[in-house]
Order: sequence, then C-alpha cells, then structure tokens
Amino acid sequence: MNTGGIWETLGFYLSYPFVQYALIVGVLVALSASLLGVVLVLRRLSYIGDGLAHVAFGAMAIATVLNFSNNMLLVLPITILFSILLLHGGRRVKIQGDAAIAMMSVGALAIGYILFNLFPPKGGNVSGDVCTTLFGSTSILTLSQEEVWLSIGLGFVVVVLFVLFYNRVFALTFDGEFAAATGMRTGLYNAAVAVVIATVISLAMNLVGSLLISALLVFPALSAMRVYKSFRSVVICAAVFGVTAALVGIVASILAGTPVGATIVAADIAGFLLFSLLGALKGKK
Amino acid sequence: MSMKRKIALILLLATALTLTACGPQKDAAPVAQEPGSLPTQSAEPEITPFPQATFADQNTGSAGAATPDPFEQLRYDGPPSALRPEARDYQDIGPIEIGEFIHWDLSRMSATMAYAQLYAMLMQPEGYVGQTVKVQGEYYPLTDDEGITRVHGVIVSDMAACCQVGLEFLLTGNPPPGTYPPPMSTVEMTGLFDLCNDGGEKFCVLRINELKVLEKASPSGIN
Repeated sequence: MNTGGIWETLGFYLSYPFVQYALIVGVLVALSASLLGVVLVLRRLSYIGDGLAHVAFGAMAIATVLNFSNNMLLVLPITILFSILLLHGGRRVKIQGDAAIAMMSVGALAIGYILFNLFPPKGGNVSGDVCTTLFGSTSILTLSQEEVWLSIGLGFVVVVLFVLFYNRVFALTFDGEFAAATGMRTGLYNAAVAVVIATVISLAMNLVGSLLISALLVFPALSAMRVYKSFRSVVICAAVFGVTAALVGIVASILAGTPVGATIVAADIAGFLLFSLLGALKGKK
Repeated sequence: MSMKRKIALILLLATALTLTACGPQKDAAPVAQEPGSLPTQSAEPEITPFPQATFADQNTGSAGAATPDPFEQLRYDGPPSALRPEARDYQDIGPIEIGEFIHWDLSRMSATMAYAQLYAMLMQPEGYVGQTVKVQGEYYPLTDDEGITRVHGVIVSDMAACCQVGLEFLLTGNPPPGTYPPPMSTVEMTGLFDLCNDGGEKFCVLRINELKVLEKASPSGIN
C-alpha cells in the first residue's frame, strides 16, 4: 500500500463516527492512565492495574448475570472498593501488596469466567464476550455516545485532579510517612488515588481489555524514566508517550485490521525500546 | 484494623451490594422512548433499549459484555417500513431504486471495522434509514421447525471471528428458486437500509435488488 493510499484509507475511516469516538476516548484514557502509572510504578504497585482489571472483569460478569442496563453501575463501585482495600490497607493488613493483588486478580477472573459460563447472556456469544472483555478487540470501536461522554468527563476529572493536587501526589509517592508527619492527610489522599485508579481502569477496559491494562499504566512511566530523572519531566514525558502510543496503536489497528488493544500495547513496546536506546545513548554521553 | 474502619468497609460493601437491586423488573411495563434518547429515570429501574443484531443467534455476539435484547421488552410503534411508511407489510414495499452513490461501503473495510460500523448502524438505526449500504459477509438463513427459510441474513465477523453481527436482507420482487446460495456462502449486496416493524418488534433490514455470491459453500440441505 503506497503512502497516498494509506492517507486515503485513513481519511476514509476517520469519516466514521465510531472511529472518531475511539480516538477521543483512547487519547483521554491513555492520558489518565499514563499520569497515574507514574505514581504506581514509583510506589512499586505496577501490578495493581492488572489485579483491579481482573476484579472489574469479575464485576462485569456479575453485572451481566444480573442484567444491568449499564455495567459501569456495578463495575465502578466494586473496583473502587477493591482498590481502596489494596492501596489503603497500609502495613497493618495481614496479606500484603503483591500477594493480595494476586489473590484478588485470579479469584475475580475465575469467578467471572464461571459466572459467564453458568449464566450465559441470552442470544449472546460467551467466548466472544469474554474475548472482547479480556483483550478489548472491538469494544473501543462500539462505544455509544453516552459512553463517550462519560469517558470524556471522567478523563478530564482525572487530569484536573492530578494537576491540582500535583504537589501532594509527589509527596505521597516519594515519602508518605514524611508527608503524614507534616500534617498531610495521607489516608484521605491514598483513598482518593485509589478511587481515581479504579475509575481509570474501569474506563481503560474498553480500550485495551482487562489483560492488557497494565501496559497503559506501566509502559509510559518506565519509558519516560529511561530518559528523564525528575518527577515533573517523567510525568510530562509519560503523558505524551501514552497519548502518542495510543494514537499510533489505534491508527495502525484501523489500517491493518488488527485488534485495537494489542496494537496499542505493541506501540507501547516499540516506544519503550526506542526510549531505552535513547536513554542508553544519553547515558554514554 | 479499628472498629471504625471495619464498619466503614461493611457500609461500603453494603452500598455496592444494594446496587444489585437495580435490575430489570419482570412485570414492569415497557417505557416508550424516543430513539437515541438517554434512558429515563424512574423509581423502578428498567432495561434501557440497546439495539443489537437483527436476529439473535447462538453464533451472533455482541461487543463487550452482553446487554439484554431490548426488543423483548419494548414494543415498537413505528411503521412497518421507515423507508416506505405507507406500506402495509414490511416484507413487500414495492420496487426500490438504489442509486450509484454508496453511503457506507463496508466491503472496503477490514473485518473488524466492518463489524464495528454495522454494529453502530444497528445501535442507532434511525440515522441510516434510506442510505445505501454495501455489505460483504456470510449468508445465514433462519428456518422454522418445518425447515422453511423465514429470514435471510448476512453475518459480518471481526478479524478473529470472535464477535459477529447479523443483518437481515430482503430481495425485492419474487426471487426465483436457486437465488439463495447454501448457508455460510460469502455474499455481497448493495441496498437501502430500512427500519422495520413486525408485530411490535423493531429490527433492521437491507433492501436489495440483487444478491451477489462471491464464494459458494458446500450445500447443507437447508431450503
């Protein structure tokens, strides 16, 4: 396919509303995820995205069984609850960090899949639904207008909150105990971060599916850290990286007809390798 | 963990569980809604109409988590054919003229994009009535208990055939015997998109003048 043909094909697809919706939501979700991913990576909670995504899958299965008109009514509260339990538990819980994430993750995934099989949606395709929910192959392309507006609203809220509370996020990320000692209400901010993370993950499921959400959180932050060292630079670079990878991934999947979620992750990987090379070259200088 | 926190967690859990009460009421009367409008809020939560594939089949999937078929609970009061409101029956609305210009050419798109666009058309069909659509997919007839084909449809799958969506099509006039190929044959058609009503059931149909068979499947014995 020559260059002119690619532009013509891209222009052809961009005239379709569902492609426009996918690009808008994809960019916002990737931006929100990449900002929060910096916090998670630095706090060594990279795997929490995966754990919460699996919890969201289990919640979606329950919502489907209970015939919810809008699955987010159940997915969001349950994911928020588990996010608070994981992030706000602190050091007093008996089952710590990675073990708790692993338990919740596999437990929710197994229960969700059992529910889908025991109570299959009427007239539906269980394998297709599970495949799409886990890998996000077509869900970003089949968004309704209401879902788009919800994603836009939540995305903006996440970005605005991050910008407004940047200093507190910084303090919480690097030294929560010192932040608490200075009088900052770390418990409240930890709970707020947990709620925001759960919200972003619930939205991101539409983009890349449950299994690939970690990529949206982790790759932008890790790639930025290859090149930049200050927190502010890493945050800005991660945001730009995340949005660019999402755009490239969505456009590539549209042109090549590949699954959207997996293509975005492939773009993330390519970007990470590029940034690693840049970081190595910068280090040599 | 302090008693206060335990109580707070129990309350949060209870709040989440109470949301499970928000489900469809089996005996609730369907609420007529304007097409494409947001769901109305009522004291008794009801299923929001969320149009799916034209015919529900075990091989026909929905995108993302499955949503209930709204056509079961919502009686459609529109005309038998939105394309020709004066028609008495949706099956025969007389001759149609299909122009050269194709509004939505799904045959040019990749499988996943074609699936997504057709899904969008079935979700909000009102905006596509009267537009010329070109579709390529697998022919799938639905038969009754006596083996007589009642519905002719075309199935469009995404790239991995993980998700599928179907659209009924109607050949104008009286098609001669042998017009329809064996099931799962690859077919292509260009026609006018229509929104129909049959006994209160709302569904979409593609009205075509010609059915082009691209690849014939082996016969399966279905009429």
